[in-house]
Amino acid sequence: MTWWQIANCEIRSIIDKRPKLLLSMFVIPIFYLLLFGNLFSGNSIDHIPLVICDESQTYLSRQLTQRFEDSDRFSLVAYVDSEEELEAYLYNKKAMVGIGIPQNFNRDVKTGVSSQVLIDVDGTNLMATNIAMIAAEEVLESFSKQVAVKLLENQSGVLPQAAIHKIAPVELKTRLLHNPTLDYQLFFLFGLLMTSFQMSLFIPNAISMLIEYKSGQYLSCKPFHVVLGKILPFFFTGTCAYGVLLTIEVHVFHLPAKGNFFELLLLGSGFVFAMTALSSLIISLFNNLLVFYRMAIASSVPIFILSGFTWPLRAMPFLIQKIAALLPFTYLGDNLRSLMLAGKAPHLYQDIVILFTYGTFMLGLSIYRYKKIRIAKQVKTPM
Amino acid sequence: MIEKMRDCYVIFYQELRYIFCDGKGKAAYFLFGIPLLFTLLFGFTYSLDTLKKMPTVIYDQDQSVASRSLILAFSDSERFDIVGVVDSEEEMEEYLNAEQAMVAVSIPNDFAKHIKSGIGTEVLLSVNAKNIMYPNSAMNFAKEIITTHNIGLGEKLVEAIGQVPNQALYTVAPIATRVRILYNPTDSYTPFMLPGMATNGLQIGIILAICFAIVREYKNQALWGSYSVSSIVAGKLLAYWLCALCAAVISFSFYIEVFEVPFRGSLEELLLIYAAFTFAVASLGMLFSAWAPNEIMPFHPSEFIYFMPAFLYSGYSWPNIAKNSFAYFYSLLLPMNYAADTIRNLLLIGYAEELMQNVLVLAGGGIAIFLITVWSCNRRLKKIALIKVAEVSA
Repeated sequence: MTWWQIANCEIRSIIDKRPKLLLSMFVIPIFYLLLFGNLFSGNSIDHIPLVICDESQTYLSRQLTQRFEDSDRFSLVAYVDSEEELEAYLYNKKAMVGIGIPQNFNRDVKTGVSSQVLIDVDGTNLMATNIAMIAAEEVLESFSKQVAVKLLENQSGVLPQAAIHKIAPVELKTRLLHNPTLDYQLFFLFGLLMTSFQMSLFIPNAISMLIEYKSGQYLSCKPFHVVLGKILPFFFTGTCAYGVLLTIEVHVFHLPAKGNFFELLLLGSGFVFAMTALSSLIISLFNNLLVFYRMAIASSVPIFILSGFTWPLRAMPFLIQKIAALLPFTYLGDNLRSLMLAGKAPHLYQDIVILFTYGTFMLGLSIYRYKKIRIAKQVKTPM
Repeated sequence: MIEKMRDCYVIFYQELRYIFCDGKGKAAYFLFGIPLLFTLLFGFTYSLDTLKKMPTVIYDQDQSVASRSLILAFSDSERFDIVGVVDSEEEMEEYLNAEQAMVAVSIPNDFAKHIKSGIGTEVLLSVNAKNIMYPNSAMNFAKEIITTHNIGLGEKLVEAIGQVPNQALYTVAPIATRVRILYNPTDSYTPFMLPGMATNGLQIGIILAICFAIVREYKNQALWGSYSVSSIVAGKLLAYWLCALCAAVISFSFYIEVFEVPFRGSLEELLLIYAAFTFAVASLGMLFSAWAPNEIMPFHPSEFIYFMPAFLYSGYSWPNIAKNSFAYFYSLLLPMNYAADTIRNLLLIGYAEELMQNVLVLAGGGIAIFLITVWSCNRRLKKIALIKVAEVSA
């Protein structure tokens, strides 16, 4: 039988006897997608608990606290009377940000001595810390500018419009490319979906190869044809599943899909090919499905982190970067997010070539392993 | 009672031997190996701690002393690494598109002239925001640079309209801010992420190691005949729990000693929360093992639902305040939700108000799961007995 006939035969037998192998590629990732999509449905962190210690209790200080109260980012938990109480709120995790306005705030500002407002931020959760810090500084900076404009107007008779340019001659405008609202769904969801897809892709192909190792159904065929014929049904179904999953993700969670269809498909098929070939090789090394399940479960988090999807690859030590280079997911995650959000990925074709070369190399190795195991079996049990 | 305790001890001892000597793919490898591997791997991964040297491209259209002094401020900062200085917007976009630079600073024409004439000017900071780590860091530090730069410039401008230097500074910046990042003052990634990742490795290790604990015994009629179901489950649970606690100690020793995660709390409290957590997870692992179809497939499908979201849903990185009600209630079912944040609080703050409450929830949950496991085992054994009777009569 040729590889094509084997693939045909396999598809029919899987659909008849083990449809779960193919269905799991669709069902498990969808389930995860819904869970993760729901988790990040808030998009960003708002209503950060805030505590204010206003020792000044003046019209000016109340104007400042009002700004914090009006901000969507913060949700005021309490007003306290002393800095110790403010720290206690942060210590007990009842608030994440504390604003301390000093007693002489109003007098110092008006007499031109300058006053110092304290921003205490809980630094334990970095994600929330960064957002809270940026938001708190923004509120204070705009308030400070407003006060400065008034001061300059009163002291030197400069018109408000001109005063602002003297106080802040250089304004910083920020342009956030590809994810202007810093939306967490855009940042995370493509990678999380692909991690679960990877897991559901890894196992069924291995089960199918293991069946061949145990039953020896295609002993009379050439090893190249057997391994290729065994992989093909999973390669095609996997590529279809990739397309279906991305379509569902984009439509259900209203995510952008700016990339070119063929580029997306090419990237996905390269990944599916690399993963199916890799799983055929690994199962031939362990010849035990249990090890496979355990590996799939234990490795999904490290593979996701090492791919540079969250903590950037260039901020990792050299050795870790090299380990990441051995994992197919590293070439998928970031490229897929770039294609979906920006419509282009700078190293796309290079990474697609790596994925297909990787797959071909793994396929070659798994054919070699298959041949070796078959010969060993034939020696043990002569026909 | 004493007899039950003796039975429990026998089973405990047998299981310890299984963990270290007998098992297929010895359970000890998973129990101790995975938490250690996670700690070392992520410890090294995050070893650079902060996002330094973000590749930055500069597009200076003004080429004046004023613009160069601003560029100098960017190049002096260790957060930005200037990888190119370009002459046109197209070139700048090329750098950004090719991801040779993640940040671009664009200074307009007439930058110096507009500052001097009091019209004001603006600097454009473009950040590739695909990976949120970059904009968060770049915005923070660029803002700091510009604010400092502005104060210097503003002071001179206000001086020029007749204010004395000291007064001018206060007029420009009447309200100064003093930001204190408590408990993680350097904004480092390791203390933020590593304890959680290591704890996640611990729970994965426990559940993978424990998967055979019950399911492999269903055929062993002699065992179920000699001891009560509760003694068997309790003895096994105890063995895994103790080993898991040792694995936890090894793991936190590594991240505290080798990767220098600050530890400000008391060792007793840290041990207490880890003990409660490992108990709850080991108990859950026993339940999964009791439900598992067979020895060839010692995982129940529900485990796959549990594993992946266990960390993200725990509120460790994505805080509870940002969750909707479904996510919040779902996370209440996960042991990680009661442990990860508390562990980080003990490490970084030295205190966790919710400690005792979480220990009680984990211990109570562990005991409840233990009872469900005993009940599930009894049911499964009855089913097996019924099938046997049917086979014999057939």
